[in-house]
Amino acid sequence: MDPRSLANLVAAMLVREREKHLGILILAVVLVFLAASVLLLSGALRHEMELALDGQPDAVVQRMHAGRPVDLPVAWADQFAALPGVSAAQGRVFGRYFQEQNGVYFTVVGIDFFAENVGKELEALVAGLDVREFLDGDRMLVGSRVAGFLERGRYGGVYEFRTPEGDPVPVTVHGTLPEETDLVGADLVLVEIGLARRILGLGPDEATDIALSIPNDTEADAVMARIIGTHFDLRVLLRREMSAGYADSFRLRSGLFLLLGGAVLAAFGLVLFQRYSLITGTDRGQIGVLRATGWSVRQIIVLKTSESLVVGLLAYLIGAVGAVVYVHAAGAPGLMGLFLGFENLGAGAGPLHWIDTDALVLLFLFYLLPFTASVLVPTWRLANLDPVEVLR
Amino acid sequence: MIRVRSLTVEFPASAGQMRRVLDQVDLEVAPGELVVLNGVSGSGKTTLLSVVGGLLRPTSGAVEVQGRAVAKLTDTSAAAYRRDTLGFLFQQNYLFDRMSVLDNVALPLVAAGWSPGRIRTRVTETLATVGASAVVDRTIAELSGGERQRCALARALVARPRLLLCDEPTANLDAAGRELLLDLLDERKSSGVTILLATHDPLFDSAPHVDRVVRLEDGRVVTT
Ligand SMILES: Nc1ncnc2c1ncn2[C@@H]1O[C@H](COP(=O)(O)OP(=O)(O)OP(=O)(O)O)[C@@H](O)[C@H]1O
Ligand SMILES: [Mg+2]
Repeated sequence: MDPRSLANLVAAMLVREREKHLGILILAVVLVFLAASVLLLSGALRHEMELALDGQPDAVVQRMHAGRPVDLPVAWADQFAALPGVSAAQGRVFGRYFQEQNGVYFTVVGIDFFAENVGKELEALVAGLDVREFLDGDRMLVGSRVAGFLERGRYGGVYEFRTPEGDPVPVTVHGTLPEETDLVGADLVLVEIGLARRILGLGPDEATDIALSIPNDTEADAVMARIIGTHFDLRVLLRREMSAGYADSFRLRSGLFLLLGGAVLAAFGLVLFQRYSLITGTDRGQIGVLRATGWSVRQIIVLKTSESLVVGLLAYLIGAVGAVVYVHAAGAPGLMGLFLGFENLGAGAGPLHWIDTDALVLLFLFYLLPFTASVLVPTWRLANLDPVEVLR
Repeated sequence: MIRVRSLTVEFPASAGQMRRVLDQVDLEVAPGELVVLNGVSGSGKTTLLSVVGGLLRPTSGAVEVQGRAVAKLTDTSAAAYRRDTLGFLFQQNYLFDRMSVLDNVALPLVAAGWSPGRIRTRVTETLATVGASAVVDRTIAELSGGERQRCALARALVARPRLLLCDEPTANLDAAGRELLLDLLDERKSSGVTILLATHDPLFDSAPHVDRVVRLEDGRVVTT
């Protein structure tokens, strides 16, 4: 067949049944948009979490009293560093700072500028910082949500923390962390480690936990056993356990979307059924006429498939582009809250830049194949009957 | 041209029984002949045309057109046969209501692989011969019954077939339309087209170019 003549006929057939095709198009756009949004958002968030995990140390040692983590002597880091299998150990200082009047949390993190940091995450955050200037007085780097909060509260670039004893600690805002770090850093307050101790009420020789570098993962379990042996009240968290924890919380949230996914699937099933029965109803006579006027089964299948593909591809394009804009340009308002929970300084992790193209391709296949098959199968069946039978 | 041998067609009727619609029909039509198929409603005229047109597989018997066994053709050769050899004018004209006349008449040509330009030229030409040039870009739904019948005829003729099967071609035509149809059939006949025409219109009993009238009664040929 001449492709231009075929295209003309496909166009004429689409116009002929425009109400039917428009209805299916709208439904399919909505379904593709919903499914693509969820997939893109979960893909992007998973990607961000993997990045965040990448920055985590190989293991973390906590001291537990009555089942709660408490501060520990920073000197223990040197003991652990001497253990076989451990290449470095560092006391870390961080904690949540509750801002009572407004009911929001900051996550205060101390940076030790004179030690090599275990874990890449902090280093990435302070990369390019002029350390000498930063250490000139009490200064902080803040995440975007904290910056927004300070702006709304008109603090004028200086925020006054209070120590647990009630002493004021004014800290100047030195800068804001880049937007890309929002998922891990939106509520961060980065300060020099000594200042963090003052704000959080730690003694000068105390740390919140100790991060370990264990270059060989197979030694991790042995290291863990040795550390627990040194002090009865220690707990060691290995990175692989943390990643499992991340994945778990993620799966839990994903459960929410199982529901949404189920609804989308059910709706898609209805669309397919609708198309299937249309073919066996309205289009029945059409197929008979085509055969009677000299169309072969193969040609009829090409015609009906092209007709279906125009609608299917158009719906996919609109739905998928819409979802990319919604998730990656608009930050998925509404959906993001469902994923991350409405915690802390308000949901919204800022723009997500990593587009899960694999998911889009997968969705394309899983959507377009059944969509096309729902027309192809009945067409094939009808086209193989005697034309007279189909025409009646 | 056409050779039908002991053709029998049965349709499933109520309670698992079969109803015999054509019973051992024999018929031969020579090339260039115009044969009228006559008979009351339900006598099996449409059924016979359908079998000859390859639109229905018979229960038993043989149908040959130009020496080819119609019922045994593969899908592609059956399609080629309907497209190139055969023009079929249906009793209910089977046009697509919400499509243009051009797109309707063009159907056999699209299947034959023609380009849009050639298609338009040929369709316009054919519509002119059936006296419907004015409607080429209108949709079928806007046309009168007679205009539709002319479009259906144009679609049957558009690929210039050697065999024309017409089922009640005068059903929706006025006097002028019937005149035109007779002229047209005459003109096709003189260019060598074989015509098998089913009707109960007495017009054809006395028409000058009809070679033979075949009468069907209860699925059997009674006079030849
Ligand atoms: N596909 C079918 N299934 C069952 N019965 C059929 C089928 N096609 C035709 N019939 C029956 O076969 C008989 C002959 O039908 P046919 O259409 O050939 O008659 P006809 O001579 O063309 O009648 P008319 O003059 O009314 O067009 C009718 O009784 C009809 O009901
Ligand atoms: Mg009939």
